[in-house]
Amino acid sequence: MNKNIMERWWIWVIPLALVLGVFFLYPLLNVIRLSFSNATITSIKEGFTFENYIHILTGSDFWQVMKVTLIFVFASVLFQLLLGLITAMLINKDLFGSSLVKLSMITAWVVPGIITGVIWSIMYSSSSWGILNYFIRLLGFNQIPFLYTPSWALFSVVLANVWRGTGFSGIMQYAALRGIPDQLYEAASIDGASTWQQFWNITLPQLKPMLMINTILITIYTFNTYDSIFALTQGGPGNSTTVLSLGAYKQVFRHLNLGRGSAYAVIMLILSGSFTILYAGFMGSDQ
Amino acid sequence: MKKKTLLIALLVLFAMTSVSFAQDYELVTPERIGNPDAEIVLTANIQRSDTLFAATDNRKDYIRKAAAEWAKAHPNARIDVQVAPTGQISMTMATLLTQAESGNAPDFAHIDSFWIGRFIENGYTKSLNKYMGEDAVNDFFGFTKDVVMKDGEMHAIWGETDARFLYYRKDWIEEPPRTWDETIDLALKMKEEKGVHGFLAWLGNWEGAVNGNVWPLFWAQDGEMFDENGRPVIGEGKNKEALVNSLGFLKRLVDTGAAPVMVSSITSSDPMLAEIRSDNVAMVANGSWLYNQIDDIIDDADEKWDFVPLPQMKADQRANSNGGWTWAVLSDDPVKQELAADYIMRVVGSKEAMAERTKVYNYLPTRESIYENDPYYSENERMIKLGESLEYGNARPANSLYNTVSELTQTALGRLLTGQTDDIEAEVDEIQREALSEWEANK
Repeated sequence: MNKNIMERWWIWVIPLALVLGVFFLYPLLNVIRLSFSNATITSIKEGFTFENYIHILTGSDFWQVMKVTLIFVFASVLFQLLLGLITAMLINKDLFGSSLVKLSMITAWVVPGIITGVIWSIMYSSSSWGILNYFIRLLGFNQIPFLYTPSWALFSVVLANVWRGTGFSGIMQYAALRGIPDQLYEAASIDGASTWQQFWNITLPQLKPMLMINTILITIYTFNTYDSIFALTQGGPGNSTTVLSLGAYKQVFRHLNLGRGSAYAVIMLILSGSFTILYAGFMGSDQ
Repeated sequence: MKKKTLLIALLVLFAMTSVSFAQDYELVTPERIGNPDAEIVLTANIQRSDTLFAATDNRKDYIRKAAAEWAKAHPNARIDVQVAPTGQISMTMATLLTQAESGNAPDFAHIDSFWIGRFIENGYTKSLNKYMGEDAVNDFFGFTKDVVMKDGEMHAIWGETDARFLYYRKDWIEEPPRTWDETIDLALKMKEEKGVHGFLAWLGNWEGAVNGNVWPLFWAQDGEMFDENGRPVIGEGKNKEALVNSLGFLKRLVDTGAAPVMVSSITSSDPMLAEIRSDNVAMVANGSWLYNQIDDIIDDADEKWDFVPLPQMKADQRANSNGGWTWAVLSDDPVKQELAADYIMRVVGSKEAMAERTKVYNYLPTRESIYENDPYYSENERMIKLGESLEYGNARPANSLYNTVSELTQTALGRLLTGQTDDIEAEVDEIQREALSEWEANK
């Protein structure tokens, strides 16, 4: 009897396939379909058109939005990985207070993006109650225009996103570090390997699978981030912090243009997919 | 035995009356209004501030009392309240539109005044004339009727409004400015003499920046965003000139140092209130709600602050921009339509309800007679000034492309204020080009 059930593998696969189909595949195909239509929130018109893609790709601000998105994603992923790795290695030493650090990392990650934006807007404010500028003035320096010059505004949204995402990255890498057998380090020490050589030849190769998963997840997550930017700058000043996901949000919920919002989403999907393939190729097909 | 029976009867009677009293109290809960076992069930999407989740006790008390009156008048009906999430206006409005399109809308809803036009345009709202009477319809200010009336029928009740003003330090400034040039000169003078910000306004990347600081200047020069066919004309002819002038003034404020570049990131009253509290600003452009907020945070508000109409390009020009929320009936069922309209009138739209609610909420009424007949509005100098400003009221157009035009203008304003470009005409041309392309794609 048991053997029969085990042989009928499809019994186990059907629920999963149903869930994936209904909640992931169908919405995905629907978004792709809508991206080739001129659907709005109030009217789903039939017909096929490339108009949304043509409008977006030939729009005067598209390449600016693309540039901002790539800077935002690249800087966020790089610093979340680096800071996450450093933090993971430090808490792996079981130093005093490492449990508290782990808790703080998780807390930062679970805070909703809107709240992250509100917290950092208080930190960055140039008003008398802005926390960072208060200390900067106390040290005798001029206050920094964190949110109202284009370059500082972009820096500020990246920093807030790095703060938010480093916890997740660090916890993932900490889990991988715990899985590296101590014998490898003991053997390397006996052979006279320096700390740097141990890191380069043992830690990094052992972390490689997790680094790849981490990088892919952080990249996708960052591409989809709009909430913290929305709360911090609403994409401004001008469009200096408008990323693709915020563009999609504005198209759907402000302009009510489902077709164009979906086209933005498909462009994001293509970019995320391309980066995933690129990472996989870079880190080796064996992973 | 008789005594025992009498005692039991009294206890039963006491228990029954207690239940009856308790039922009155339970008539209004955060998510339900009326008899829980009612046969007729209405659904309503209402902003949190107009439910028992409101932030202050006096608001909760008002809703509890007004809603209970409706519940007592209709013991056979109840309203299941869907509380709209705070700060998610666009998302809530888009969801309501989707529900209305697919026939699943709540029976009545609380809709932002600059979104209601889309609901009316698409035929989702029902006429309220027969539930209100002609006198009540005529009593509303003209700028509200421009948006909520269609073919002589009122499709939503604009429950409250606000207006934009220039707040100034009356202990520092003898003569408040009436023109843009005077504003810049005075702001620079204050900056130099007092060492404070000359002028502040919320000019960050959001709707409030254009609604509060661009459109009043644009409308005062007779600017129009759309023609009678709904075609965007904001960047054509005299409209282009009006927008270039308006954006040019705001840019000049920052370029000359009359306003700090910080204004390009302000999207709430809080930073301005912080500067007001620290005696660090001479003039602030903001809404009618600001006066009470100033009064809350400083002791001598009356001695320090006063307000005047927004300065315009020429001293004889005047226009305001007025926001607020509307209430519309979306149900197709005539019984529910009547019940919903009665709730809206009892809680928001009748003269008595509007006068009471706007006092509790610190809003401005939208019915002219309230400013004439209610002593709170007719005898208070500040309220008289606020009421007069509504004569110059303007509402954002009920055109489905309004959001696009607004969004493009916000982006242009941000680019101009932060020095990403100095070419105002090119920015206005771009607004026109983009809006026109949207219009042509949708017509």
